[in-house]
Amino acid sequence: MNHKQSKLVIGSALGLAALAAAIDHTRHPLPDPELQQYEQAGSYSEDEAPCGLDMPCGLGNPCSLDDEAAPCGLD
Amino acid sequence: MASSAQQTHPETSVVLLSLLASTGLALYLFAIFGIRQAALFLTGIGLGVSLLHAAFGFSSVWRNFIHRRESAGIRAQLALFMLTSILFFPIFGHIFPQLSVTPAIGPVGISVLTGAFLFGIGMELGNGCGSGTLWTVGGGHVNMLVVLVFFIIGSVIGTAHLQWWLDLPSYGKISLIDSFGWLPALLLQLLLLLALYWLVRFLEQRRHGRIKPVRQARLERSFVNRLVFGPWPLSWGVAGLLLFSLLTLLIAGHPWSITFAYGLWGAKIWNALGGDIATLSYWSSGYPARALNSSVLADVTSIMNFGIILGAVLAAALAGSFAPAKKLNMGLILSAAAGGLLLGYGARLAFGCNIGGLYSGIVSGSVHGWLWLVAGFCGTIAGVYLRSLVGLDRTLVKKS
Repeated sequence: MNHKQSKLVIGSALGLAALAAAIDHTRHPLPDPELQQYEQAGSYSEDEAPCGLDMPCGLGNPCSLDDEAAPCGLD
Repeated sequence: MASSAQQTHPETSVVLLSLLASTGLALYLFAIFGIRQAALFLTGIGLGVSLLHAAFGFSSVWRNFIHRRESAGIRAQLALFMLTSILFFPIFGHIFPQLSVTPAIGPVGISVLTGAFLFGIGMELGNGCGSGTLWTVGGGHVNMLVVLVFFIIGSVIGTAHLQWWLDLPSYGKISLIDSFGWLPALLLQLLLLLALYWLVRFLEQRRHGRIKPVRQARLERSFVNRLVFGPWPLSWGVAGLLLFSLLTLLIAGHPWSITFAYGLWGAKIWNALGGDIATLSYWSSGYPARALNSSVLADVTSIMNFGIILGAVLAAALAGSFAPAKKLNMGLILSAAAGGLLLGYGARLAFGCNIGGLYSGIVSGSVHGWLWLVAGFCGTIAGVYLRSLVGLDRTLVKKS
């Protein structure tokens, strides 16, 4: 595969991925502005957002199937 | 790894396209999600540029050490682990109580042991790791697209089996910082990392009678020229990764991670094709369920990965090395597929790849990170033997 062919394949793959991300994005509601305000202010309490999209898991964070072993998203 | 000075011929069209895409996405993230998401995307771009310009990989570095006792890459990794630990341990030890951060702590058990071992084999068959797959795809290496696709498939299969693995024996989560306090834990960790540093250095000295430096001698080109167009010496790569890892922790609130997003992308694709991934226990509750039911742009790991890929596209285009010519054959494609599957499955079981499980685990003071290191290195040794058995070293181009 020469340089031009490689470029074409990679460009197509990245373009396809961008299209897929855009389709996925349009299938979900936009974030709640109120929630965003909390998030930016860093004022989540454990009760309000125990495992938000941005705080996947960690010590004592209840983002798991059970307490002992947490298959969380931190990888 | 980084080579000596050379003339670069930037690909202007690719540079402009990647800059346009990066700026557009950053502005969109800022408008829809706020400054935090945009900043994490830009941090991802910084990581991508650092990884590509310094060619900071794990699979070929570990293989080179096993084969030829060349330790410069491993010493650079250990230096990164030490410097990051010095920055992160006090933060995780809450000496800055205003910072809300969560360390990457995983259970020390059969799941991590098996997962990291499989990941090590996958690294050698696929010729890439978690971070390496991203920046080589961004760099335009077509064979790594195959690895990435099967990495994603392996990650999804891993999520289906994870509960079974987690039911196997485990000592649970063990944090050095919680066990000893951050300062004694840091000293213990630095001692261990230094011992490893001197061990690999000693083994290189014994084999070759000399030590290849991590920091390269001054070159003819100016600092700025080299910073923009690359290649970087390993020491610059360490500095870049240290800086952007710290930014990730401070902005995201948790250490750098990569492979959760692969599982998420696969799960979303499966759903889009008519599958019902949400019936799996992994995707039915907690963070994974929320991520599955939100835009991919809301997921921190995903947008950082997008940033890494775009950063690597930009860096490769600046260096004039974007989309190199590749010889592809069925053997290479099959090994890339097998490697990708093992990488994805292993990373899911091991609570992360060489970044989320190994690097972030160790610099969080988690014992599972150390278990990952031992099991992952053993898996790499097995992978190096497998490569020889199937004749891969004759076909695979040395990369990442």
